[in-house]
Amino acid sequence: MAATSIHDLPEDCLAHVIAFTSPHNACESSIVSTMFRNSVESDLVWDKFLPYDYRDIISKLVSPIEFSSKKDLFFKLSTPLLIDGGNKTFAIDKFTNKKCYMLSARELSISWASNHLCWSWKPLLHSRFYEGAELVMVSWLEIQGKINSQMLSKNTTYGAYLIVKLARRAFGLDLLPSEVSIEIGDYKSIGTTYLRDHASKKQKLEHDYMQHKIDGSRSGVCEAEEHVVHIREDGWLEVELGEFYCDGKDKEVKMSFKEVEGEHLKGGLLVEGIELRPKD
Amino acid sequence: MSSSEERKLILKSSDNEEFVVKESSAVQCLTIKNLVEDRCVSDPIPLANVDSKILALVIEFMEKHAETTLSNSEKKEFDVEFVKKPFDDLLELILAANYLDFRELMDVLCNTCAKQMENWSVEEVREKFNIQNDYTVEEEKAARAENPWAFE
Repeated sequence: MAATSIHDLPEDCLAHVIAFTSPHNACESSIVSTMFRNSVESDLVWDKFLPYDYRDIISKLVSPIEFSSKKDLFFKLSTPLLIDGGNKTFAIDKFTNKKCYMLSARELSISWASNHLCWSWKPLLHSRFYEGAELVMVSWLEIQGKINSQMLSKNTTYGAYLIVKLARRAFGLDLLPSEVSIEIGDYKSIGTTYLRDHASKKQKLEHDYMQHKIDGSRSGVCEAEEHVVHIREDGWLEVELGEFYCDGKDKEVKMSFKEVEGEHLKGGLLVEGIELRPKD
Repeated sequence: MSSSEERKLILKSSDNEEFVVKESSAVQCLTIKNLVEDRCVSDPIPLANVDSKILALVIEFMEKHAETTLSNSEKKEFDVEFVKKPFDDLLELILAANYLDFRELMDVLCNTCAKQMENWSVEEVREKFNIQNDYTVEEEKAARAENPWAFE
């Protein structure tokens, strides 16, 4: 039989306990009792769940947001929002409580991007950004992105994904495998992939497999695994560039996609950007 | 002069047991620190909401964490053993840490309870916290509908 003092556990003590769980667990526990629900609503809990630099992040939003409580703010930040003049989006993954970013095509370094004969910049259908890049025609296809690891959640394994679509007129993209890589500090991972048309009615839906071969430089220690080029819920394709561990130190993450071995022309690739999100 | 380190305080539990502690350890409790700084220290300091069993445990934690010779990992090892107690005791310690405003103890205890809670069903949580389900059927449906993603 529990002591009577437990019945008197104040809401803020309970909130203090709930603050050490997770957003998912906290919301689940709201149905334990009405006192639990009140504790779950408390700012004490969501202040702890929000990223420590959330005020800084809010200051970078393209559209200011209003929120009635820290819980309300948390959930508003859990859908991708434009930041940095519309060049990136930010979201909190509510399941893992980690930061996610997408760098727009404009944030990336795309070889020959300023040459309108090679790449054309325009608003893309179903894109979260003002504009994206469409490959007109190029033989040297190279797309690179960079982000400082201190923007990400520390002690987290992240995956980086190139978000693209293949236009109906797409050509030359799948003749040779493309090379994908991630570099951070001493760690580098390299893999290959084929950009194949999944949407064409003339072809069967094919799965592409990427073999990740790791360049064994001083600290890269990954097993070679196979990855599938994935169709997202929003209709875009995602090409995994690799994964890396973010330890929170000040390092630059370099991500790359390229097909530069083949001298043949490629075209019809639509680029939305590169997404970084925690791996399961 | 290190006279402030030697200064002692007497804490009295709700069941009238007295404990002598170093002031330098006791001021980890902000409630006590405020009394000291405002020069409102009575002799002994009555702690009406903390019984002797719990106060003894609080003092054990307090003195360990005040030891400057211990490394952080040694303190963490102590914490791991310290929290191996029945859940009811942890809740009583939380009440005491809250009353004394002892942040470090509060964080260690709440983290422990939270990690245990994560593995329990709703019914188990109710049982351990000794809480009745005071939702009506409609209210519970509404509560689930507030956070649908948590229940998928």
